[in-house]
Amino acid sequence: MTAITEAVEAAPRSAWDTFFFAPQSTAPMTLLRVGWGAVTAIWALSFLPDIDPFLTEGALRYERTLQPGAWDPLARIGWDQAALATCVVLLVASLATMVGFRTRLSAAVAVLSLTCLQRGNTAIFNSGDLLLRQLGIAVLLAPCAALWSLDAARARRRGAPLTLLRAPFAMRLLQLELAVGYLLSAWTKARGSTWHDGTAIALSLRIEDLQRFVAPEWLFEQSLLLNLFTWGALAFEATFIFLVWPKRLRLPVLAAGVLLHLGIDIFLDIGFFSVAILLAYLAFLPEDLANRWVGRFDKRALEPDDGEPAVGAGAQDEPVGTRAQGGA
Amino acid sequence: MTRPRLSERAERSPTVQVLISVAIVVVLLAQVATHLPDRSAVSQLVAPEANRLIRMLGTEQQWGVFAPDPRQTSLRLEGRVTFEDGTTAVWELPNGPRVGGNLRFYRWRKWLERVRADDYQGLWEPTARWIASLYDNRASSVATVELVRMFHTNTVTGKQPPYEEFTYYTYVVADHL
Repeated sequence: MTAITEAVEAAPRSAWDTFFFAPQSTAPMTLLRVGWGAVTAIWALSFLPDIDPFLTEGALRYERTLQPGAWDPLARIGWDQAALATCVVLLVASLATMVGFRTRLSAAVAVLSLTCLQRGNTAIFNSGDLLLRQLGIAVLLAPCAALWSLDAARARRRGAPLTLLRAPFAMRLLQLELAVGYLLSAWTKARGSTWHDGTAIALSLRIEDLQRFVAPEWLFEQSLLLNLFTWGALAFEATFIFLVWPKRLRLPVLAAGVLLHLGIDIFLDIGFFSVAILLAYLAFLPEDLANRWVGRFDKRALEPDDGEPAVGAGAQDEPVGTRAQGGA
Repeated sequence: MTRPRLSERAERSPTVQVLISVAIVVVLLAQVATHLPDRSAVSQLVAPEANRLIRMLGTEQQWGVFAPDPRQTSLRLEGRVTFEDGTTAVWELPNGPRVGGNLRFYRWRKWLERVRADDYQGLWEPTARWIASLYDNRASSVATVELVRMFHTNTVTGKQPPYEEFTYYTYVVADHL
């Protein structure tokens, strides 16, 4: 054992360690895994009809210089059906992830396939597509197969059931990425003029090529309401990172986000953006609530594990510095 | 009692926890670095390496949706095809049902934003060539394809102005034979 390891082990458990590594219920990860697998399968199905032309040489796949650091395996494969095959692999791997079959491997294959497809033609994807990939990385890193999965069933048959309380670092990373992302989005908007003057929401709804259901004309006459919507959306993004951690505020904050993103999804045709955000919210679900949801179909989510009660057990959800230090 | 799995042993290992912590901090800092104002000195210092890192890791994100301002124009695109015999056809962006179909056709809408932009000139010729190929089964072959961008500036209230149009690229098939 190295001196560094000895020193780390000897140190008292810090708030940081508690936040990222104190064992927690895997129920939230389970919900994220199932949701992400299902949505990614739909993503793959919806893309299959447009592989030709978008990812077909001689059609709309075009020559471009990738950003430094980016890798694009499809560009190196000479086979003209590679993109189609990758999309089919993505479909199968995401379904396997959904049902928890060889979960980590299937999630890795799905994330890799998603990355290859998205790098194959960067002109057609939006931020929702990138977020979907980010969710996949969290699923890949998280131990999310302990419940509602074929892997768990196989492990039980072998007499070695999977542990239900695990380190939540992958969920924490996803939580922080979303919270920081909202803040960055608010900061970027603060550089514009229409978010200041309160017209940004109205102008967004007026973009005809992005309209899904057209907002009623009378709405655009309600300038006070539109101002409040605009500033409300900006305030939500700017404060999410502060308000989402206290348990008593978490569900109201998430509910506000659900309303905001459902509104966006109804009026604007931006593909998987809203559903990806809503999936990311699953990482914020309070443990006891996630346990109850998962426990409806798998009672083990409500049972003790390693001598610790699953409901309400483990670390609290507040990030480093917002709660007293404590062991787990 | 069964021995914990490798991933469990790893996440309980102080050394691995330190490595994971470092990775989390680096990923989050890189995400912030790639969203700094372009002209800031800090951005110019750290953004290139941060961009390289997040693309190597496959974790690039775009958090600037409708930022700093939403687009204030509405766009359309037409591919105006002229055949050798003088007849014409108009290709328009594929579209579909607003429920369900939206999960497919949003990609065409995103593509529209790019294909009409000067920053994406590399898309123009493949687009025109591809539109021409859609009419391969006609008796008369395609002579030219014009890419026409149509746009108007949106107003918050009242009737929207008519679309203006501009032919921004002409593909002459004979020049590419």
